[in-house]
Order: sequence, then structure tokens, then C-alpha cells
Amino acid sequence: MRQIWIVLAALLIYMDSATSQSISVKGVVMEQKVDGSLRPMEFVNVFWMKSTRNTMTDSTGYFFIAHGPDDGDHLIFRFLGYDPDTVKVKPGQYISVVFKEQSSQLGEVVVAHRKRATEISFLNPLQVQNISSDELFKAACCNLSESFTTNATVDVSFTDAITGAKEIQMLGLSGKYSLISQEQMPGVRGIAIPYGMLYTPGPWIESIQISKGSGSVLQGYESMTGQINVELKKPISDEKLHINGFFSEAYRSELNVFTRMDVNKKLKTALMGHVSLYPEQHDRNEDTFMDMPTGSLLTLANRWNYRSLNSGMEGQLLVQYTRDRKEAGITSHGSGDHQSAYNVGIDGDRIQANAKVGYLFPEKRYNSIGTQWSFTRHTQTANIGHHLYEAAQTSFYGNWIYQSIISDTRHQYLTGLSFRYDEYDETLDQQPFAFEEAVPGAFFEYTYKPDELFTLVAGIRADKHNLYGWLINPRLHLRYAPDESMVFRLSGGRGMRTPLPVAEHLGWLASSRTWRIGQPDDSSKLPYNGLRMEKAWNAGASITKEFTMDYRSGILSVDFFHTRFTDRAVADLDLSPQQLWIYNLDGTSFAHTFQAELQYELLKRLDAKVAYKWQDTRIEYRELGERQQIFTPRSRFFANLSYVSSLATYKGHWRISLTAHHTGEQRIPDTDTNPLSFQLPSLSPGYWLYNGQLTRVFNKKFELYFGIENIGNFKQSPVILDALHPQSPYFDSGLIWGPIFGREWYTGFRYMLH
Amino acid sequence: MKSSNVFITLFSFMLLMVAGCASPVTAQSGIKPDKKSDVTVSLKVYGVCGQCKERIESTALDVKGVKKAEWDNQSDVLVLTGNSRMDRQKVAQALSKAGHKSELSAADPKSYGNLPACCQYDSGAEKH
Repeated sequence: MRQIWIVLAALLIYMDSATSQSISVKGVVMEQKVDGSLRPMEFVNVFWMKSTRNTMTDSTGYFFIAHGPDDGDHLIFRFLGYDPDTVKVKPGQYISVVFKEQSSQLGEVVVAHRKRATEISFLNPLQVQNISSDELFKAACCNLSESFTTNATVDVSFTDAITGAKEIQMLGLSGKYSLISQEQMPGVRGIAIPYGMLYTPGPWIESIQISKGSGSVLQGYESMTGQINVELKKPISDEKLHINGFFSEAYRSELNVFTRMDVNKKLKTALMGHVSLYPEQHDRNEDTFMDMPTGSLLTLANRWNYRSLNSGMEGQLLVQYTRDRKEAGITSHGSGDHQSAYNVGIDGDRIQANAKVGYLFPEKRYNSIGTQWSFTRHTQTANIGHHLYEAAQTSFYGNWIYQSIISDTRHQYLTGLSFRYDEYDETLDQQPFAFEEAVPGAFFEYTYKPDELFTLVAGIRADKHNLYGWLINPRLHLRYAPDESMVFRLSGGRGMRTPLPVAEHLGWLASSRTWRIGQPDDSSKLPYNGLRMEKAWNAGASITKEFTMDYRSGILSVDFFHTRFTDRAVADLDLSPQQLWIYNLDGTSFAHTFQAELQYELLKRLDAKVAYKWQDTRIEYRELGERQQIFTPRSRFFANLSYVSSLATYKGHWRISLTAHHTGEQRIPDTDTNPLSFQLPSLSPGYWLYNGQLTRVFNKKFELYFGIENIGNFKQSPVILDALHPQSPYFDSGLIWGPIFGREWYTGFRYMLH
Repeated sequence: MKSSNVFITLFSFMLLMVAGCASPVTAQSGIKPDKKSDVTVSLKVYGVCGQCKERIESTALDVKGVKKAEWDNQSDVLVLTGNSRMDRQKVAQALSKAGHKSELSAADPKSYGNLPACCQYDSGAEKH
């Protein structure tokens, strides 16, 4: 879906005194296209803020609304896909309102008050948090996995101390249970799970939308806890050129380039490039293992936009290539002390092409046809100690969407067909796992929006999976806004996914555990020795309240979500410190999360954000019964202060951001049967992390930034069990609950042309 | 703590927050002056377009004491709300430095020259 915002507010045209006697307000609503042309907008909802008495514009954009004594003097204009516009009017006035079609105009939003860098949408029936690039500029954010350091909803951690693989958590569950999409198309999934988050460079990102709960049926059945959607910079972006350079204390060096050009009025293109180098081996904790892999990452993308204003045709194409090379394990000068070396080599190559073609019926704005196409080829090899993992994935995805209304715009629906094909070919230590998934599906989503206060979205999809049979997934979302400043939301639904146990737990290969996947004697012919599809129901409720104190705005948001698995592939590390067993859940597994977040502009130009999160995730293990899920903190506390020295962005100014993050106790898998020196406590300690960044904006074109992560230099200890003997049965690098490298400074620049 | 207890506590907390949120709704629609001691003044500032609007409002808002700034493109009137420290003259000076002429001060010629051509109100740029 396109991100369209209003920028331009109202132009008030006073009529002669003759008409000022009348008691009605009339006018015209127009849409300003990207090329500057104005077109009348039909079906725009026009209503009085106080009484909600309403009308709609006709095909010429004209409206007429009577003014009664209880109507107040604020008129609101709303149209699906745009932010609403509020205009103060006098009876008898003739008004013209222009909605401007916009494509990410950073810092150009015409508002008298400040825009929050992280916004929670009021109109969306789903609870969606939007992270703008302003927010991303508050931290290093070199890639997608690092883009959540100033966000409380998504947590990111390393899976192990050696391979550099990262896992995100949302609603107390691993990121594999949320749908990570790129521009509403398939993103990080399949064998890309351990490293895919590193393949989206931060400077390419325009914005990120985080939605909690089961989500829309439109994008498939895979979202269980929520969706993280990444919008990249577009050929129609405001920025013409963006160059970013980054260097850190660990000698990590990055260069990012974005540039765009117009081929002609209809066809526009953009080129994006990223290269990063990790040249230096580091071993700060002196356990002879590198604290992070060395290597390089190269990724390039080319994208195209086609848009014909006359015919209503729209098209987009994005091709991205990624080449990832990593080396890790024992440092070159440390290998002499070992009985034998422990080396790690990880290579990833990925090519992805995403395309969208859409048609908007020019005379009927509510009517559109859209198609989405995606192709991915990804190969990955991981040589971790004595383990060898090789994997290849070929995926194809097609989605055909038709959107229209039933009788009027109060009843909208979208429906369509989808097809998903995935071919996986994996080998772990000569044991092959190969399977194909071919999933045709159909979906229908109905939206009932009788007025601006209430929205109901009910969706269902049915998919026929070649291995798992029929998959039926219903979704329901309700939104009720008792007034302009408060929204209640309820959501519920089911999601499913195919487990990929090796790719998902790749980091745990860096241990002496023997792997057991499924039941080797299983007769079901399902992949991975009979692992079933993972299925979960999710339900949640949230309240969002906006307020203004002393002309500065704030937002309070409270939510509660519950996820209950009916099927899950459980990774059991508790059975024994020498084993990893992945099996089908027999009993129950659930996650409760509660989050409260408050944002307020504490003083002029000083924004504060605090959040508290409580989570309780449990799994019934086969032999040990119900336990807390490992490496899932019971509580998290988060606070961020950000200050900007001037709101006038055309001149030089400073930006400062400080973040404090407390991670509560996490359960560590049992190590009781190990010798005493290789035992760990059952709970990790809670700890604080502090990050800070200072940015000097010289002018609209150039800025320099400097930051420090983990200012308190907190480090987990020990990191690797029996690190000096990688061949011993007690060697384990996968018991990670905290930072490994400690304090690290970084610096960088941004050069932008608009 | 048992999980059922945790639940009850959490739900009570949520209900409390809802109740706390619900009561002041009518009092805060976001338009009324937030403090009685605040004053509202106006200043004529010359400008042309949406870009000017952003420049004028953000420049004014940077000035000490100013809490809210709204500039109307048609009438060239800047409406300022702020506390007793707000000084129209200081706002006018800041705007002058930003390239905008006001009823109290001429524009700094250098800053005016640096404005985008579409914003140069004295050089024939028309309201748009």
C-alpha cells in the first residue's frame, strides 16, 4: 500500500459578504498529484468535529454541509489513505482543501507543532507504530537489525558468541513468528532468518512500520505475533542523493549511497549501494575466540517506478543482490594454545526481485487492482567448527488483489488470490533435508467503517498446502475512537509457518551439542523427520491516548497481547547441555505480554519516551514440563531522551539522543550435569545498557555524528563455556543473554541533496 | 508470583489507566489555551508558500517563550502564543536572520538572498 500523506493544509478563500449571511459551508476538495496537477476528489468524508454530522464530496470534489448550533467551527476532511485534515471555518465560507500526494518528504511536513519521530497511527484499525528516518538517525542503525535500539517493542540479541547471527523478539517470541516484509512483500524469511536482518542497510530505509497482533490476511498466513514492514527509499523520494559513511572502534567501516533520477515524467529509477568491512579480529575477553566475525558485506539494489497519471497504471520493480562473507572462531594468534583450531566460515549469496503492478480506476478512486510478484534465490554455507551446513532456497510469490466497495465507501472489501512456492535444499553434516512447498491461496477482507469513530476489519484466508493440507486463517480487527484523541483496538487471529529448524537455530551449531531433529523413525513424510507446521492464535487489546499539555503533545499507549500455540517446533536445550532436540510441542506453549509506553515533549525541543514491558513466555518441554522460554526477559524498561537545538531545520543545529535500557532476568538452559566450572546459574542477572549519540547538522546537506554504545561497558561473563577446549563436550557458545563486545564508539557522516 | 495473580494485577492496572485516560478527554481537544497566563500576539511576516510557512513557524518556535506559532499564507499574519518572556521584537529579529521581513524588522539581505527563488516575496514570487 502506498504511503500517502497530507502535506498541504487549507487555502481559505473568503467570499463576498453576500454569501456570508448563509449558514452553510461549501467548497471543493482536490488532490495534488506528484506532478503538481489538481484533480477533484470524490467520496471524501467531510464532517463537523464536534457533532460528527457529515457529508461526502461528489465526483467534482464539491461538498455542501449545513452548519447547526451544535456543530462547532472545525471541519474535518478524511479520505482513506490520507491523514485527515482539520480546518477552522466560519459559516458561509467557501473552502478549498488540497490533499497532496506525497512520497516521503523528510522534514518538509507543514505543521506548526513538531512531528514525533515515532508515531502511533490513530486511524489504522491495526496498532501500527511508524518509525521515521528521524528516529533511525538517533542511533547507529547501520542495518535493519540495529534499527530498534530506540524502540521498546522489538528486542534484538545475538544467538551465540561466534557466528554473529541475530534474533529479534516481539511479543515475547522470536522474530520468526512475525512477518518481516519489505514494502509489504516477502522479506526476511526462510534460510535468511539468521542473517537477513543484516542485509537491509539502515541508510536505505525510509521508514519502518511495526504492527502488533495477527495482521491482515492480505500478506499471507505467516504473521503470528505481528509484522515489521520496511519501506526503502524510493525513486520518487525527496532526496536526490544520500551518501553515508560510518566507522567504529572495532574498525567496522561502511559506505552507503542512494541516488535517484527521472528517466522521463513517468519512469523514475534509483540506485542503492552498500559495502561494509569488518577487517580486524577482536578478542577483548581473551577467551581466544573472536568477539565478532570479520568479513565483508556487499549489497546493491536498483529500483524502478512507473506511473501513468492518465491511464491509472502503476508499476514498481526492485532487484537486490547481496554477498556476505564472514570468518570467525579462534583468532589467528590464539590458535596456538588449542588442541585444534576452531574455524568458522559463513557465506551467503542472495538475489531478490520484487515487482508490483497496479491499476487505479481513474474515475473511481476506491476501485483498484494490484499484483505483487517476488522471486528469491538464496544460498548459504556455514562451516562452524566440525559442522557443515549448506542450504539453498528458491522462492516465488505472487499476489493478486482487487479492492472495491459494496454500495458505498462505508463497506469496503479486498479480495484476491496468492501463490507461494518455496524450494528448500539443506544439508547438515551430510544429512539432507529437502522439500518443496507449493501453496495456492485465496483471501477476502471486509472493512466496515460507518463513521470516523468505528472500524471493523474481518478477514479470512484459505490456503492449500502441498504438505500440510488446508490452512484456514481468520483475522479480526476492531477500532473504536471515542474522540479525536483516544483509540481502543482489539485484534485476534491465527497464523502459521513452516519450521526451518537448522536455519533458525544456526548459531547453536557453535557448541558441542548433538542435534536431534524430529523423530528419525517418523512415518509422516513431513520435512525434518515429521515436524508439523507451527500454528498459533493471537489476541490483543490496546489503548492509545494522545494529549497536549502546554502546547506540547504526548502519547500514551498501553497494550496486552496473548499468543497461544497449538503446534510448535520446540528447541529443547534443557534436556542435556550436550544435546539439542527439536520436536513437536506436546503440551501447551503461550506468551503474554504487556507494554505501556509514554511519549511527551518534556520541554520545548526535548522529547522523552519511557516504556515498560512485561512478558511471560512458557513452553511445556517433553521431559521437564512447563518452563519459561529461555533467553526471554520477564521485564524490560526503556527510556530515551532526545534533544534538538533548533526546530528550524534549514540552519545548523545539534541533536542529542540518550537511551537507557534495562533487561530483566532471563532463564538460561540447564547446565547442572556439567562439571562445576562449566555450570551456569539458572537465571541471568538483570542489566542496564546506555547508548548516546551526538549529531552536528551543519546545513541541509551535511551532518556528522558520533555515538557510544554500551557506555557502561557491560559484558556477559563467561561468554563461551570451556572456550579453551572446543572439542570438549562442555564447549558451548550459544548461551548468550547479554552483550559480548562491550563499549564501542562510532562516528559517521551524511551528505544529502534534495 | 503466580501467573493468575500477575494477570489480575495487570488487568487492574490497564483498567485504571483507561479510567485515568477517559476522564480528561472532553477537557483536552488540543485547541484550547493550556495555561491562563499565556498570551497570544500577532506579527505581520512576509512570505509566499508552504516552505516559507515551515521556515517562519519553526524559526518563531525556536525563540524563547514561544510555545505555538501559526502563520497564515493568505494574510501574512503570524499568530504567536507563549508565556510572559515571549518578545515580538526577538521573534522579528530571528525571522530577519532567516530572511523574512516583518512589520518590526527588515530582512537580513544576505539571508533573503539565500532563500529559494520561490520564497523571495519581494522579487515577484506569487503566493502559491
